Amino acid sequence: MFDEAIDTPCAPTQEQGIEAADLMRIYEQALDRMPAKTRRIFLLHRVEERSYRDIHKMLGISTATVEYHMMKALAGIAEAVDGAR
Amino acid sequence: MTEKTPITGELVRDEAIAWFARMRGPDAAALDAEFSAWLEKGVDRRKAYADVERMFERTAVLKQSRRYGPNVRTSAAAPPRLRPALAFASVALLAAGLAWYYQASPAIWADTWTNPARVATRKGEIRTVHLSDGSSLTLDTHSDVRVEQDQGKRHLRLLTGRARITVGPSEEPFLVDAGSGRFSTQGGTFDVVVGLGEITISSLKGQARVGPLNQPLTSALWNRGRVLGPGTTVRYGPRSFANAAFQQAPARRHDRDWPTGWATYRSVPLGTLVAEVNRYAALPVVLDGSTLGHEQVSGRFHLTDAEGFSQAVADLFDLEIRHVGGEIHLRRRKFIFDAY
Repeated sequence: MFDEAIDTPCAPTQEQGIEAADLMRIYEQALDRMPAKTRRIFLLHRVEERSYRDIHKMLGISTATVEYHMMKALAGIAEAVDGAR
Repeated sequence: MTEKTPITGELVRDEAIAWFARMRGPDAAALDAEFSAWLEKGVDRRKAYADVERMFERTAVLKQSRRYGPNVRTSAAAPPRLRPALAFASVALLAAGLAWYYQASPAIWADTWTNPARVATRKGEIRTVHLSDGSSLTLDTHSDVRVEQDQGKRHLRLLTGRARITVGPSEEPFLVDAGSGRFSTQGGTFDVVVGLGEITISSLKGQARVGPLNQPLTSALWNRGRVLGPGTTVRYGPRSFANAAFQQAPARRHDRDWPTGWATYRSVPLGTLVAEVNRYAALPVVLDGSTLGHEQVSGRFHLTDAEGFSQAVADLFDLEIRHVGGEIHLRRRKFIFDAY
């Protein structure tokens, strides 16, 4: 059932391959610049898909602190994306 | 390249980031009213929040990062630098990873269900939750599921919206209630949709017994009940299971792919596709002009990215994009011919 062939007479697929390669570089550079703790918490949540509660238990910090570092990490990434434009 | 993440102002963006970080935490449910009030303050806030959501979604590409991917220890030490000898390999890996990312694309976010009581998604959100028994649950936009207290049994109830439930094999049946019906399975993948006037349960893989909610599983009615096999869908009313209708019809590809936020259509009116995108969009897409909605389109679309979708459709049909009053308007370009 999952092998059904699909015909695509025209394909306005949202190809963004080149954008993606640049995004990887921008995100990695943004992570390079972050304080180690902020980077670690962001990666635990985003890449390893750990919940705030999991991170709180793993690192012995409050969920409010996890939230603070997530905020800092996201702000850093947003700035990096802005800077790349 | 540029990531299309227009920021509406430093302050609003900072607020949006703060809310985004907050709403991913354990207090999200308690903060929901306050968050909604903040969103309602203006289009600029909704747009800024949507931009942050999109930015976060795109950071999923980091899962393919040689430097920061899931198999790299998330050390607090300074980031390791790539040695030259690894550079070629990393480029190859990146290319392969990106190919995977844009094919499999974004499971919008995933979590471990540490406090099983209720999980809900807001508009635009697709969320995957892993259950402790190895099963998983993906909720579509605007969906709500509750764990039923049933003597420790695996038992969920979908209150509204759409869910994909992948049940890890076990002799203990996994029960899912939806409207007036229920299904019981020992393994498989199922889509459940609770709409206003109709409930549907479809098996993508595996078998389930389906029957009325108001009869015990041991009743004669359940024993005579129908089995839902792969490629079969049952439809019934929210209040009565009596007229349940079974249909053998494999899921269409765009129905199968919804947990990824992408959909592939062979041929669909643009108006239908826009309606689907608007189920997720913070800024709805509006087609200006009476004929545009009838144009047929085919291809693979990122339904949860209204901005990217609008750009792709605008490129295809040579349309003009305008942001007006919190909406993304698409219209045919007007050609002005020189007068002779």
